[in-house]
Amino acid sequence: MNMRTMACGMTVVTLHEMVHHETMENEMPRVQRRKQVLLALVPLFSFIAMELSDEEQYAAFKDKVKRTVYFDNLTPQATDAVMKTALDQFGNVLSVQFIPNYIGPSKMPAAALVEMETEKQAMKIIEETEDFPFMISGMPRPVRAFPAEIEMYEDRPRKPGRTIQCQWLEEKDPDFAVAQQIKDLVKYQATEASFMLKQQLAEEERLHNKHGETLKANAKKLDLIEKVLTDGSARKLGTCYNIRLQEN
Amino acid sequence: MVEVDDVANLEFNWGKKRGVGGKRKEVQFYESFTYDGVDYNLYDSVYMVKEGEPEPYIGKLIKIWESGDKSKKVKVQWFFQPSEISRWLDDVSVLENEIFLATGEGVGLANVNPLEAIAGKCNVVCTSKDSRNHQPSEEELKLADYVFYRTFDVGSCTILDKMDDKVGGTEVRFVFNKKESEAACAVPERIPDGKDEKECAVACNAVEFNTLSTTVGQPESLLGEEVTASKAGTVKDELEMATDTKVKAEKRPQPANFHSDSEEKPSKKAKKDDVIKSSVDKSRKKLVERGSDVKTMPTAADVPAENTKSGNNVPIRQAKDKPSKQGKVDCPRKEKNINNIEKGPSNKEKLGNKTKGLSGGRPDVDNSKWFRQSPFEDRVEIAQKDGTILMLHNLDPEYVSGEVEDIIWHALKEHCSAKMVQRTKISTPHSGQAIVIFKTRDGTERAMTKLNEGCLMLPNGRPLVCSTPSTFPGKQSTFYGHLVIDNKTLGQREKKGAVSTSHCSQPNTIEYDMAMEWCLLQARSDSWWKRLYKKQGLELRRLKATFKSK
Repeated sequence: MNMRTMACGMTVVTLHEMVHHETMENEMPRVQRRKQVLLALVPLFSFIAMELSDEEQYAAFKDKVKRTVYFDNLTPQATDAVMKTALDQFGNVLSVQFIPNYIGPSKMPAAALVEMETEKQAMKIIEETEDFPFMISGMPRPVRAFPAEIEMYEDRPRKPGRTIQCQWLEEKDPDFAVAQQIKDLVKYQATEASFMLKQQLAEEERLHNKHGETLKANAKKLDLIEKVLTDGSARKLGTCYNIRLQEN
Repeated sequence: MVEVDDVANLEFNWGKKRGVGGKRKEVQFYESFTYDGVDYNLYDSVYMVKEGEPEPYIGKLIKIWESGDKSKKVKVQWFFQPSEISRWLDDVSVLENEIFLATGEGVGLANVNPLEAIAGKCNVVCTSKDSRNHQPSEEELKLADYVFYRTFDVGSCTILDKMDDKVGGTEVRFVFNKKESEAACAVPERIPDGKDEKECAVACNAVEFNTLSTTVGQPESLLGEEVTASKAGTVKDELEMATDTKVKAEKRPQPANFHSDSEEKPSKKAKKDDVIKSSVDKSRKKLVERGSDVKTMPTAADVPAENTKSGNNVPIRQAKDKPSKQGKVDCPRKEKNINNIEKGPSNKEKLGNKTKGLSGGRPDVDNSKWFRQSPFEDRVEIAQKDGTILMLHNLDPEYVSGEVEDIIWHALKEHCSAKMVQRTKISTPHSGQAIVIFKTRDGTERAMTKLNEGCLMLPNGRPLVCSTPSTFPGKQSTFYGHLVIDNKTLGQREKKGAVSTSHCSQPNTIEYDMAMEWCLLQARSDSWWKRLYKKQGLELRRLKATFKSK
C-alpha cells in the first residue's frame, strides 16, 4: 500500500510539473492547484489517493466559502480591479470571481464572489453593507452582500462520498405518470421564475426612470435658485417683501 | 381575510380512524385528515392562526378528534420562537430559523384548539445530533421552514439540550425526524375501531422506548400483548398513568382532563389570554430589525397577485376560534409516529433493484481535457448555432458539473460537457439547472427525445427535465440604477460625498433617499422570490407525495 501510494505520488509530481508549465488561468495557490491535477488523475489510480484528497479538498473548499462574500446588484462596469479597490478598506481581497449569467436576460445585474483573507473580514463587509447602502462604481443603486454558498461556485469539488443513482422508469411503471407530471411542473415553475424575473427588471427600470426624473427636477431647482441669487432678483424680492437676506 | 362562513366551506375529509373515547364513546379519534387540500397526519407541524397576532404560532399535532357535537379539535404541542422566550434566552445563541419545542409541565406546553385554526403545514426539521434522530439531509435542511434541536421547559423556563424519552409527554421518536422508510407510511397501521384509544396509550407506556430503529410495525405487535395486561381501569386512569412518565423525573400524576377535553371543553379564550401574557414574552415584533427600516417594509400587499395563492405558508384564513397558546395544559399522551417533514416516498428500495450507481466513472475518451479549452461562454455560443446544447432542470442543486456529465454518460451513453448553472440569490432552491453541450447535433436530439418521452429518475424523486435554451444573454448590456449627474451645481454637491468609485452613502443626500428606495425594491423582490419558491416547493412536495412506490 505504501509503495503504491508513493509511486502514485511520484507520477503526480511529474505530471504536475508538466501541467504547471502550461499557463493555467486560475489563481489558486500552488498546493491547491496540485490537488486539482491529482484529481484529474484519479481515474488512473482510483482507490488509493482518492479518499484522502477528496476529503481534504472539500474541507479546504468549505473554508474558502466561509470567507467569501457574494455580491449582487452590480453594474457591468464593476471589474476585478474595481471590486478590489472598493473592498480593500475591509481587508485583504484574495480573489474576485464573477458569476456568469447564462440563462437570465442580459439586463440582469452582475453578481460576484469575493474571497477575503479571513472569515471575519467577510462578515464585516456583510454587516457594513446591511447597515449602509454601499455603492460600487455608480449611484444610487447600492450593492448587496451575502455569505457565499457552495452552489454559487463554478469550480466546486464533488462532495465526498456521494453516489448518484439514476434509473429509467418504464412506461407501465405506476410512477411514470407522476414523474411526467413533476417534469411538467418543473418546466412550468421555471417559466414562472423567468416571468418573475422580468417583472423585477421592469420594476427596476421604472425606479431607474423615476430617479432620473427626480434628479433632473432637483438640478433644475438648484439652477433656478442659483440664478435667482446671482442675478439679483432674490435681493430685489427681499426688499419688496421687507425680508433681509443674508449673504453667504 | 376569509370570513368564518368561508372556513366552513373549505374542503375537509377525515383520514384514518384511531379509536374512540369519552364516557359514551362519542369521541372519535383520527390520525390524519385533509383540510383545504392539504393532508395532515398526527405529529405534523402546523401553523396556527390567532387573530391579532402578526405571526402564526407553530405547533405539533399530538391529538386529533371529533367530539360528540361534531366539532373538530386538535391538540397541539407548541414550538416557541426565540422572540417569545427571549427573556430566558439571555446570551444563548440562536440559529436564524431555530425554534424550541415546549417540554416540561405547565402553561404553554400544549393546548386544545379547533381544527379550523390550522393555517397550513410547517416544515420543521429536527437537527438534534441525538443518535435516535434520523439525521436530515442537506436538501431537507434547505427546504425546512424551521429547525429545532433544543427544548424549552415551560415549568422551569430553561432551555434544554437533551431530549429524554418523552418530550412534554410526547414520545421522543415522534419528535425526531421520521426515517425515510417510515416516511412513506407515516402512520402505522392501527387496529380498527374496535380497540380503544386507551390501549395504545398503555401499550406505549409499557414499552421501553427502543430508539428510532424500532420498525413501524413493532408497536402494533406489542399493542396486542400489552392490552391484556391492562384491562384494569378506565380510560381516565390509564391516561393518568401515561401522564406520570413525564420528561422530568418527578412522577407527579396530573389531573387528566382528557374527558373534558373531548367532550365539552372548547378552548376558551378568556383563560388563555390572561395567563399567557404573564408567562410568555410577547415581543414577537421585536424581531431582528437590522439595518434600515426600509428593508423590513415589504408586506403582503407588495407581492404581485399571482403569488398570493394559498400555497404559501402565509396564513390567509382566520378561523372561528383562534388557537390559544396558553391556558390549561392538557394531559399529554403518546402516540406512535413521527411526522415532521412532509415527504414524498423515497425511491431507494426500488432503485436498488435496477439502478446504476454512477460511482464507476465514465471512460474518459475526451483527451482534449488535458489541454485548455476555450472559455465556456464561447463554446455556448457556438453550440447554440450548431444546435448541440440543452438545458437540464430538476437536478439536485448540489451536483457539480462533473456529476452531470456522469449522469448523461450513464443514462444516455453520450459524451458531453456540462456546466451547472451557478446559484445566485434569485435561483430556485428546488431545481438545479445545467447547461450541457453535446458533441453532435444527432446526439443532442437523441438525448432530448429520450429525456422527454422517457423518464430518467434521479435520487429523491427527481425526474430529469430537459429543454432547449432560449438565446443566451451574452454580455450584460444595460444596468438600471446608476445615474450620471450632468448638472454642474448638483454634480459638485454630490461629488463631495462620492470620493472614489465606491462609498457608503450618508443619510442627508438625495442619493441616500434614492438608495433607500432601491433597498426597498430589493427587499420587496426578495419577498416575491421567497414566496414564489415557497409555493413551488409546496407544489412539488405535494406531487412527490403521490409517488406510489417507495
